[in-house]
Amino acid sequence: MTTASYFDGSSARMHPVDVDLTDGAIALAGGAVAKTYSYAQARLAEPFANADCVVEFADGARCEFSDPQARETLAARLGYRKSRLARLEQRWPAALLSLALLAGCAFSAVTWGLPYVADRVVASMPASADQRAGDQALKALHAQVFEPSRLSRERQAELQGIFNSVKPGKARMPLTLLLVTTDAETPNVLSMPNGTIVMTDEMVHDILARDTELSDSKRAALAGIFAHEIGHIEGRHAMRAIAHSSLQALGAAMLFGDFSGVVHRSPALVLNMDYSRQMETAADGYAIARMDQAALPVRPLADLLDSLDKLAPGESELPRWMNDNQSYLRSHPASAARSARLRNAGTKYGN
Amino acid sequence: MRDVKPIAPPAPAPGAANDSAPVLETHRFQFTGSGKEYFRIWIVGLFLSVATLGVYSAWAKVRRLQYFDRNTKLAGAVFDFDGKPVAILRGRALAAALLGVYYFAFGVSLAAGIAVVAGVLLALPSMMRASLRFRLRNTRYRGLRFSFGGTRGSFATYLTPVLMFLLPALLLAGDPSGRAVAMVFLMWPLIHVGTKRHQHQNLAFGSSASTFNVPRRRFYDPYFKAISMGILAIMAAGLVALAVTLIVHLPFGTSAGAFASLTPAFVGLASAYLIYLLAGPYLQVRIANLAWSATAFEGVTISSRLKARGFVKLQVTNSLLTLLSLGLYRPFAVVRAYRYRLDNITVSTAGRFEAAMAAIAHSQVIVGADGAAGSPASALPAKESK
Repeated sequence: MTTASYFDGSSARMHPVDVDLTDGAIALAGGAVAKTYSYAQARLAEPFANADCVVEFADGARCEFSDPQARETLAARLGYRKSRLARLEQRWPAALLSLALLAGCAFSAVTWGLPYVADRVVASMPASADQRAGDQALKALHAQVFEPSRLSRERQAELQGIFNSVKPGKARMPLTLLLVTTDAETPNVLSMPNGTIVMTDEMVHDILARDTELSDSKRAALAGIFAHEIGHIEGRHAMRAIAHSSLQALGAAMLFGDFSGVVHRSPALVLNMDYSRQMETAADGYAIARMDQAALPVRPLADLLDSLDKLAPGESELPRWMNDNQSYLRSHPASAARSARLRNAGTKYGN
Repeated sequence: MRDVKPIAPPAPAPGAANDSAPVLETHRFQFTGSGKEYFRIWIVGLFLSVATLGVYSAWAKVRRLQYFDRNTKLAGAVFDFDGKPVAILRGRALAAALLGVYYFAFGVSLAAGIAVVAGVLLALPSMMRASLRFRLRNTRYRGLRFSFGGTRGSFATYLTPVLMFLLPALLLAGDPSGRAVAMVFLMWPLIHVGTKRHQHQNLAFGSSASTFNVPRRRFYDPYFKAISMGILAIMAAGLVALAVTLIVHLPFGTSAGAFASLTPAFVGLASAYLIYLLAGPYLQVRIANLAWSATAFEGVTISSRLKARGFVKLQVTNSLLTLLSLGLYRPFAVVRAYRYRLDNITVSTAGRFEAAMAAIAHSQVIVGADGAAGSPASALPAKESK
C-alpha cells in the first residue's frame, strides 16, 4: 500500500490516489478515481536513481510514485527487468571500461584510421585532381610569393640538366622544374601535386656556398634533392597529406562543431605541407633507388644535409609552431638518422 | 504584481481568497539527477556512439533527454520523453549526408558548391522546425504532450536568420565600405526576436496554447551590452599582446621576432575565448529571461530570472574544468548548468495551480513521426538545450 499521483491522459489534472498492489493487479482509489489495472496492462519505466517511479498503463494513463519505497515492490510485482544498457550505466567499472575503450578508439582512429582513409580517398581520386590542386596552389603562389629566378641563364640551364638526369623515363605525370625567388629569401624546395618541383635561388646559393661553379659532388647532391622530391610526387604524398589534414579538420569540426576552419584551408596547405615521417622515408627510399638507376652517388646528398644542418644549427629540431619561416631544413629535417641511411645506401651501392 | 515567493513546491493553497485579485501560486522546478549518475550514462553512450560510428548517438540522445526530463519535477509531477531514436537517426543521417556533399561540392566546382549551399539553406528552416516539433511532441508532463503549432510563418521566420549569414558577403561584394553590412547587423536583434516570437507563441501544452508578449525594442539592450563586451575583450587582448611584445622585445631584441609574428593569432584567439566565455553566456541569459518571462499559457505565467553574473561565472568554471579534465567534466558541467537554469525559472498561476491544470485537456493534434529530427541546427528553447 502506497500513494501516487494518477494522470488519466486526457487532462493535466493530478489525482492523488492510494495504490494497492495485492490480488495480482494495481488498484487505484482516491477522489473520483477508482481503477484496477492488471499487471499485464502496466509497465514500469526505467527507474533512475532519485527520480520518481513511473508506471504507464495501456490506456495512456500513468502513475507517478514519489515514495522511494515503492520502487522495489513495483519492480518485483511488474516483473521489471533492467535492460543490459541500464545495467552497464549503473556500474562504475563499466563506465571506466567505456572510458578506456573510448581512449583506445580515439587513439587508433587518429594513428591508423585517418591515414588509412586518407590514402583510400586519394587512391580513388583521378590524376586530374592532383593536377588541379597543384595548378591552383601554384597560381596563388605566383600571385603572392614567387618572383622569377635571378640566376643566370647558364646556371638555370645547368640545373635543368641535372633535373633531367634524375627524371625517371616513365613518370606518373609530367615533371617540371621551376626556379623562383621569394621576398622572404628562404632556401627551400617544394613539390607540387601537379608534378612541378619548385627550387628557390637561395637554396642554390646555399648549396654553392662560396664556390662559383657546381662541383660533381654538388651536382650529385642537387640530383639527390630532386630525386627526393620526385619521390614525393610519385607517391602522391602532397595529396595524401592534404586529404589527411582535411579529414583531421573535418573530424575536429564534427567534435567541436566549428566548420570555419574546414572550408578555406587548401591554398595555404600546399605551402605549409607537413609530410609525415613515413613519407619522408619513402621519398628517401625512392631517391636512393632512382640515383642508383641513374648511376649517381647518394653520399653527396648526405654530406649536404649535414653541412646545411651545421650552417643553421638547431633549425631542424625546432618545433613547427615556433617559427613560421618555411625553409628547406624545416620541411625536410636533416636528422642524423636520415643522412646515416643515405650514407649506408651509398656504401651498399659502392659509390 | 508578479510576486515570486521563495518557497518550494507545493505552495500553500490559500483557502480564504475571496478578494477580486486572485492569489498567485508559484512553483519552482526541482532536479533529482546528479552529475555522477549522468556521467555513467554519458560515457557509456559516448563509447557506444564511437564504436558504432555514430549510429548509437541517436539512442544516446534519447537516453539523455529521458534522463533529464524524468528527473525534472514541477508542482509534484515529472516530465518525460519518449521520442523514437530511429527518427533522430534518420535526421542525423540526412545532416551527415548534407555535410559530406557540402564539404566535397566546392572541390568539384564553385557552381556545384553554391548550388549545394543554396539547397541546404532552403532546407534548413524546415529542418529546424521539424527538430523543435520532434522535441516538444515527445515531451510529456502530467500525461499530456507538448506541441509546436507554427506552420505558415515557420519558413519565413527561420529563413531570415539563415539568409543573414549569406547577406553580408553579398553586400560586401557590392559595397566594400561595409556600411550596408553594418545596417544588416543592426537588424539582427529584430530578427532574433522574430525567431523567438515565432517559437514561443506557437508552443502548446495539451490544449493550452502559448502567448508571447514583449516589445521588440527590449531585445536591443542585451545585444548592445554583449557587443560592447566583445569590443572590450578585443581591446583587452590587444593590450596584453602589446605588453608581452614589449616585455619580450626589450631584453631579447630582434630574436623575439617569432613572438611578434604570433601576436595577431594570439589577439584573435584570446578575444574569441573572452567573447565565448563572457559575452556569449551573458546574451544567452538576457535573451532567455526576456523570452521565457514573456511566454505564458492560459492562466500560467513563467518567470525566468537567471543572473547574468552567476551564469557567466558558472560557465567559465565549467569550461575550465572541462578543458583541464580533457572533456570528462562535461556531464557534470551540463548538469550544473541545467540545474542553474531550473533554479531560476518559476511558474505561477493566478489562483490554484491544480485548478489551472485541470482546465488543460489532451490536444487533438495527431502525434506523427518527424523526419529531420535532431538535426544539428536544433532550435530548442533555452531551457531544453543541453
